[in-house]
Amino acid sequence: MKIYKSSIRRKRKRQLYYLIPAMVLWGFISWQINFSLIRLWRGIPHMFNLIGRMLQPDFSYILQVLPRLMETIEMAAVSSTLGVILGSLGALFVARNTAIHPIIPLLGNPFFTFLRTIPNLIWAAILVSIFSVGKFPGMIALTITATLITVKLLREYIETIPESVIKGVESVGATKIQTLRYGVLPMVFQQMAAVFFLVLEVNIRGATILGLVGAGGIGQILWRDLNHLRYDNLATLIILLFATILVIDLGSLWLRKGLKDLYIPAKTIPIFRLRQKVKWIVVFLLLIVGMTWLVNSLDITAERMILGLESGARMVLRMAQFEFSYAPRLVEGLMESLFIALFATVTGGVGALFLSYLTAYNTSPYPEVALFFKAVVNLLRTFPPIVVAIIFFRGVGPGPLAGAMALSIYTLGVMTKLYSEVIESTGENIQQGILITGAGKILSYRFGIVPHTFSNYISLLLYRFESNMRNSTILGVIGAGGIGTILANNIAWRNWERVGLLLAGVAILMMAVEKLSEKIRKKLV
Amino acid sequence: MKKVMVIALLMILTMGLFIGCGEKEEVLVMGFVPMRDGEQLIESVKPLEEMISREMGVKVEAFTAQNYVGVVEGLGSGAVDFGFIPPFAYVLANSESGARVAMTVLNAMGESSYRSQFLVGETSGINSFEDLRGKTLAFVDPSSTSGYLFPGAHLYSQGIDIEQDITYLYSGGHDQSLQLLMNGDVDVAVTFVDARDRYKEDFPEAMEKTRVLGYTEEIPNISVTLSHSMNEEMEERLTTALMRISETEEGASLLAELFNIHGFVLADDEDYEVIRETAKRMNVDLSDQ
Repeated sequence: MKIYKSSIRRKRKRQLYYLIPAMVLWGFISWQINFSLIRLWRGIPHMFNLIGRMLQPDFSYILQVLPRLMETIEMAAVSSTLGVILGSLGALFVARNTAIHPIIPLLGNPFFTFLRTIPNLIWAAILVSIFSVGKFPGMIALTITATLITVKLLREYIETIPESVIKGVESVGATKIQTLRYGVLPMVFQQMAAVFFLVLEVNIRGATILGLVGAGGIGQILWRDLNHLRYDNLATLIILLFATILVIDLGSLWLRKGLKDLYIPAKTIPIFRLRQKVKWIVVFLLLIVGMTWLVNSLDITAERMILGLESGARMVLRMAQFEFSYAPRLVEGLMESLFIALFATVTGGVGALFLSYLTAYNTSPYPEVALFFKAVVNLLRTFPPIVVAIIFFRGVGPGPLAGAMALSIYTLGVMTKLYSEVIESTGENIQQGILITGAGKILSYRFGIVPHTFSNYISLLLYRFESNMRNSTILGVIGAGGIGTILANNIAWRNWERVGLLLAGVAILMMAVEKLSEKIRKKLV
Repeated sequence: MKKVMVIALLMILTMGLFIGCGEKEEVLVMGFVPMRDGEQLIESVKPLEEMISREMGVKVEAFTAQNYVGVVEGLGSGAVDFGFIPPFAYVLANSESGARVAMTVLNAMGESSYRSQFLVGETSGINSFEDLRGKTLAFVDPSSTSGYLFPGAHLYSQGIDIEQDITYLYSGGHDQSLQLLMNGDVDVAVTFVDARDRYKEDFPEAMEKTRVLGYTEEIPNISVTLSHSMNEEMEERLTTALMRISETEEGASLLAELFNIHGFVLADDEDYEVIRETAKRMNVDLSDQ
């Protein structure tokens, strides 16, 4: 008994050792972003006033903006398709076990990582400067993002393909290409559908903010309404987007299920051969249809493209000549972005720990409660952080605090969704094991499920942190502090030498953050 | 564990209070939204913050924002006390929350207003606004006063219905409008006077290859707008402080160099009526629900 008690005491002490520095750190971060409960409290009535104005959506407006929504969906769909195809090829090139030469992944991966650190809003802003406003720069920006996400996800997947599969195909005398075609590609295909829908959702969300810099789609209308303070129209647009994403989510679920059941065994070999041939013809036809669609959806001429590429080359050349005297501003901006992202990740993450308890079906006290919170969480995650930031602008004035709070809410939404899904997929025995001792649901959550899934939780949180770093760059465009403000200013003023330096700075910080989080994740597993 | 939680909670609360307490003393929050058609990129308003603080004897906290929405919302709630904001933003802030305009900034010519220009290609053969029918025009963006509202209203006054008589697009920036024109994507571009000079590094041939078709009406310069929550005494102190700064030699040169401000003139709502009328003509709904 004595040993037990002292062990408990030691454990508590250890917890304290961790908790106090963590609290001090959090305090420091809060101070850095000018956190103040009083200011928030005082701002609440003003914020409700704004939310109240948003609660009068004008549904007749939907018909007016429907064509622009279709444009956005088209942009997202075309660029996702293109991106997944390009990305799959890229992934095969840079995956360690399928690369033609070991030097390619060694050089290719840092290169892709570098490109991935640049937020798509910045891509779009730069591309708009080159190709002028319209769908085209938006589409290219989205394709770049889609390609880079696909490369990352598929590369990680390919690298987990057991060596036996590859060696097995090689052992029957297949060449490198044949191994890829018959060994790796069928496995990648299955994954591609899942990646496609993921990328599509990311791109539809992305397409809405690209309008900010004039890259076409519904975002341009969203931005106009925001600038004219038409919050009623803004709310209508957000509801519309929410519905669209929901439909895509459901559609992807249904399609993926359908694809799984599609497998029909062939009875004889000639039938199998015939089917193989038909399959190739179908793929070929689809490719042609896709290409025509792509060409039709472009609103750009060949001469315009060449002009754009020329000015693009000029711009990149100027970007390469870093203006080093600008470095102090860079460091200042990066620090602020870092603090905003840290604050949002910690605040949203801790909140999610509590909210997930209510949101997951298997831990929530009643299923109705879970359903209610699922709706809330989805709402939190649909509101673009930019709009939430504006709401906070009204309460606490523009600045890092508003940005940090907006990102905290977004992180809370996303984290709760992801973590509650993790909880729902944990084995029942973990919860039951605690419940059987007579403990309640809360205790079984605290001492059963949370410790069991804690490494997943941290891993999700680290991903959120990376994403928050990117998002805090976007928020800067509307004046929520951080590196984004400086970056947007200098793109608008065509100070390419400074933009080059800033982008390099962002990339280095992002790569460091990713490396660190990868290290921590590896340690957890 | 419970004790730890209690301690943690207490710490958070006290910290919030501490940070909150720091702000109890009187602080004026100032927002600065540089106009995109200014001479140079204004990044730090520190010098201006210091000058006003010293002159008024009140601590001023200043920040810059590329977009005015945040500042307008802040003015509405009182989170921001006063701001240097574009004229269209003032009209929005006024109709939304009753913000008042105190002063208008003077430009290098000592004027309180500026104009936009319609640029066409040197060899385009467009010589009057009548010739614009059926042509393509680049506006800047729908929230831009000098790049959309005034030029659009000017076209209406010249008998051109922008929805029917011409095709138009938004370029996203004065520089990009110029680029579209230089590349031949559009027949007419709208920019402030004179974007060709400002972007001569990017478009060295702009001066020879384009010419001015016409100018818009006078657009009021950037305004000094006060939140409805600021009292008259403070308003008085602020305006005299700004006036005095612009009259001292050191202050004047700093303002001119860093912010392109060459003085102030007292202003009232009527000076901005022209913006409201123009917005109405351009179908921008300013009424607040």
